[in-house]
Amino acid sequence: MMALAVGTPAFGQPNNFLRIGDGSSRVDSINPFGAVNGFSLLTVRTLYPFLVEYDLEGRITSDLAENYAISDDGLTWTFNIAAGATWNDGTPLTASDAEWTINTMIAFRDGATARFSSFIANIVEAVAKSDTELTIKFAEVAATSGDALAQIPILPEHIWAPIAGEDGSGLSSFGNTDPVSAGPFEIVRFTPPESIIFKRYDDFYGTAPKLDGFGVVFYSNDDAAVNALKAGDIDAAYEVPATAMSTLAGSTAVNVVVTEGRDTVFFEINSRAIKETAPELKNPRVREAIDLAIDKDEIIDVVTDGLGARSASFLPPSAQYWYNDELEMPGHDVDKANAILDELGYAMREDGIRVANGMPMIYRFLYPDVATGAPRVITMIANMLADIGIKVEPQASDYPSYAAAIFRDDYLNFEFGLDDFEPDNDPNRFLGIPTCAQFNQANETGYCNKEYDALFAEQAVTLDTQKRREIVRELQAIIARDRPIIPIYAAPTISAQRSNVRDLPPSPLIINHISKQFLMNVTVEK
Amino acid sequence: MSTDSPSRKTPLARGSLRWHVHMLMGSRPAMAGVVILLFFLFVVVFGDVIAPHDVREKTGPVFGPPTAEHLLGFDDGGVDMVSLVIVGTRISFLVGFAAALIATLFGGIVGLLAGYYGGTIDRLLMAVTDYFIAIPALPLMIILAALWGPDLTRATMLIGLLLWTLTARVIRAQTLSARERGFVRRAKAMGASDWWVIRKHLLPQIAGLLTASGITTLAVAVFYEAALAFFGLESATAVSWGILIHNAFAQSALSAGAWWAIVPPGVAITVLILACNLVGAYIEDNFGGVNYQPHISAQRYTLLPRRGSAK
Amino acid sequence: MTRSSDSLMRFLRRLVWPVLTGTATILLTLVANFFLFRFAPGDAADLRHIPGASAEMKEAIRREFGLDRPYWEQFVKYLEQLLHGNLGYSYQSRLPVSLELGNALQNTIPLLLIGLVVALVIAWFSAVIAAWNQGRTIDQVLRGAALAFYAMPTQWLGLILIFAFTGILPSGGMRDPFLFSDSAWDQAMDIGRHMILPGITYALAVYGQFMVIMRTSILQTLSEDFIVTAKIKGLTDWQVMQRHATRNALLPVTTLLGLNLGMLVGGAILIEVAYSWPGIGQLVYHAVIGRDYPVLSGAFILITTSVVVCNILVDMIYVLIDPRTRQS
Repeated sequence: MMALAVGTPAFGQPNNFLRIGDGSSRVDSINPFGAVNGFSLLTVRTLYPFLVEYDLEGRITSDLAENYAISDDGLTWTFNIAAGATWNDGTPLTASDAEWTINTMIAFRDGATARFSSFIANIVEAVAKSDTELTIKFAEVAATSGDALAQIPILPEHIWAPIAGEDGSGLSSFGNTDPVSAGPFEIVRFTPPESIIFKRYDDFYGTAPKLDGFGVVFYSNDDAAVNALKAGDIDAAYEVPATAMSTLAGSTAVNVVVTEGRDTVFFEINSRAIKETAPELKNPRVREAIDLAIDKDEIIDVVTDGLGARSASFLPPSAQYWYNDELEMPGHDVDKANAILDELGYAMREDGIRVANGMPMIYRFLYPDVATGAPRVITMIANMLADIGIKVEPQASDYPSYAAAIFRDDYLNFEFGLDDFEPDNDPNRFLGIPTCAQFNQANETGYCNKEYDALFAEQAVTLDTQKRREIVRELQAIIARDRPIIPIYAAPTISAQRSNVRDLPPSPLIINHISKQFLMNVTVEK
Repeated sequence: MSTDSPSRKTPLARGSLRWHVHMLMGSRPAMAGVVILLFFLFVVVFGDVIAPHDVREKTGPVFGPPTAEHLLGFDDGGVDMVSLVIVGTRISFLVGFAAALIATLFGGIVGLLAGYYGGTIDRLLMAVTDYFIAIPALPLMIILAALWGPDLTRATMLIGLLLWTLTARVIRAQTLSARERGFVRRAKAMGASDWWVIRKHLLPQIAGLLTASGITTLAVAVFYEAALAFFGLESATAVSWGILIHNAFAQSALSAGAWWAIVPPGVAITVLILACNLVGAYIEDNFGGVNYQPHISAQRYTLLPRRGSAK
Repeated sequence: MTRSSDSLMRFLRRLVWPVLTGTATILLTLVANFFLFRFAPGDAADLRHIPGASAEMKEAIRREFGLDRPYWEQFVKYLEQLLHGNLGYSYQSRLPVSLELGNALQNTIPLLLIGLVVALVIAWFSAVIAAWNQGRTIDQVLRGAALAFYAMPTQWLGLILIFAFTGILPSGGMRDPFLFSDSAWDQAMDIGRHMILPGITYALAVYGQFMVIMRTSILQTLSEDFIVTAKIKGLTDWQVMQRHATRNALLPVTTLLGLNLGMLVGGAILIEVAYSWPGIGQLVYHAVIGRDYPVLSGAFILITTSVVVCNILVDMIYVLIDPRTRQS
């Protein structure tokens, strides 16, 4: 019936099958060069081998490479690849597939394969010495090499090489609707946007999963997923809204799993162009007053039913090892905030708005409508700032327009912003956001601090994890001091599963897409 | 008509305010519609005063159920629903009103010009009108609003600018027939300016129809306001009925079992649209509509005289 | 002989006009569509919410979608591609927009048609009963109900029905993807079950306008002279009702269908979002959220074109069934 439905119809009634439902997402693409959201990345992770990947504890572990050795200068890594691995069309899976994939990503890094440019940035080349041996040469020693390799899927050369074309443009426009894969599961049916169904691939090079298969069904709202879970139409629901907790908690057939999440909501203060528009915002005292006025606990109560996490650092507590837990958690004290502003001589007018430098403290407050917690967080912050005589004018827009507005005229058209970011396992990319190099890209406040940039560069090449951790903590302390971005809360990830589902591990990500081990031990009792 | 005869026994002058009121009293649905519209107008003006709680303040639990003090419970921010629906009336009504005003003005002018001047102008204007009639309004509205970014003013303009076509059609037809009336032709023959003729002779004749289509358009505009809000294409920090429905949907009021967060704004929209349609239909019926008398019906199993044949 | 060929000519001319204007409308839309989307703020390059996305990467995406070329060049390419039925590629899925639209349309049409048929049936029954009891309480109740349903925001009506039938009927999606059955019957039953709530919502949302116009039209027919003739011939009231009133009641409905096609499609869009129905509405909804311009643009072309084409068809049907155009 569907033109896109692919694969074998003769799947039959599987015994041990996990039915997942989600109300906010969908698989946007199963082409690794186009996949963006969590479930697309889960699909890519499931279908394709990676040299290494993360385990459930967030450590680098082996995947296709059984082991690897690093040369004395740290620049050449040699991987031993599982022998006898095959793609699901019967073609052998060898080191040359990995060689081709990595070198192709390097060749078209400014074009079709740009999605992987940050992961291959430090790689010079990959060479297949034999079917089972691969070496990768790095340009410099970096702390993030393992993390980068854990993000690069190995694609079947015999399928992808012919479609690449001269400039590689064929790679990113390839629909890949009937993928040749080698991971623990293969696609039985992909019916975008409704659902995707996998079954176990019996010639998988690793340990066989316990499940016969799994599938994900996508609804266009969270209610539908919750209803389906309650009705027993699905076994597990992801992105469960906090507001549904109370109704689900009453059911004995359903277990709700709340995990400290990584997705963190930030209040952003323009740190670049405000010299012209609102010089008072440069003052750290004013920033402190703003921080004091925002009652994060109240926001967490309302928006996340009390399940979100406070964070003293812009890197959330779920970053665990990297999180700087020595930072002081900013308090909530409206009186103190008002006292600070009084002291600075920003008198309050009759209409309750303060005047600073001859201008009323009325500021533009931009946010993308897809931001976590919006619009409720916005109205709450607006009310809280009103209590200290600061008026904000919220303006929602779609993400492209938001980014365009923020960066327009070199950060001249806003004072406040709100957005959310989700750090990776390795904090490198996340820490890079408030650097000068990220102007007009990821840096939404225009914050630029040479001291920060130098430390950031240093942590990236510090191989001693303990030492690197010290620098990472220092970076967090700088941001907490300068407050270009004020963390509001880290959103919880809430999932729910029926009680006959066993060994489905929780994840700080909305759906775990960084480890094949995620689904390996799951069983579903009838 | 002699000037000194007392007016008490003569029927009310057609078109006078008292005549309108008298006519209106005779139609129960129209009367109900007018009363409802007046009630909403009152809420629009005094909403801030009569709302029992501040809509910016959390006064109860998230999706808290109705209590004696909070008759309709709370929304996803713990805000009193009664107050939200009351305060939301203003934006819903104003968006509807402004959009209807734009549509009626624009459509009225186009219809008037096309009907009055005829010929090439008519053909040109009607071609444009037909084009916009053929384009599906809601999809175009959604796409344009998505392109321009979510904003209340832009949404209002969009709704207004996509709803003028029916008004233009109706007004053109009415103008065409009015133009052929004897006194209009006489005035033109005597050298009256176009503007004079339009203002003195045509406008009074189409005023009723213009009002009717304005009120009907108001209803459609309120409907579209809610639809755009449902797609998240209005500023989410504003309070309108459409946004209340959207918030409840987006924040999973259904899973929370909070019917009170969904039902009231929808009822309000329904009642407002219903009232507009009743009043609109009444005006149309009494200013150009036709009533049909059937020859057979369940009440009377006999043949009825054809309408008007008795005279 | 001349008489019939004359009327045939007139008949054909009446058919040609809608085709001509319809074609003009579609062409104009295609041009307008290009300019609407090229002058939108933001583009694919800003679409991806990736911390650390490099400038090269954004440039690459811009190049990939041809956004770095001058407008006239893009326009020529656009027309060229349209000629080949190519609506571009989705920013999000990387699939051809025409493929995505085709799949979505396959799901929307059954919902729309079934909803429409149910709506017409409800409308016809309540119109006949109301006309028969003109002026009585039942007439007022039926008209009131029609007006009230017509006044309800479609998406809201959907949510209310979901709320009322949670656990009884499926309220999300078009089928159970985990139904591992190859039997066509099982699959059809599954889709049917999923269609009940959205179908009823759709029918309720649109039947009101049909009911009101059918009722008026039935009353109008019943007031005409041939009804007297029919009565004199000895037909019972019910026979008269069936033979004349019903057929004549359908005529204005065809006009209404044509006029309101855009509105009918709009209703379907809202319902699909409320019910996660994988049709055009949901596609547009996700494209709005992701600002997937090629999909939005393609959807606009598709919806406009189908509405215009349906309008032409309705015009033709009208010409065919209207006794005045057929006989004169």
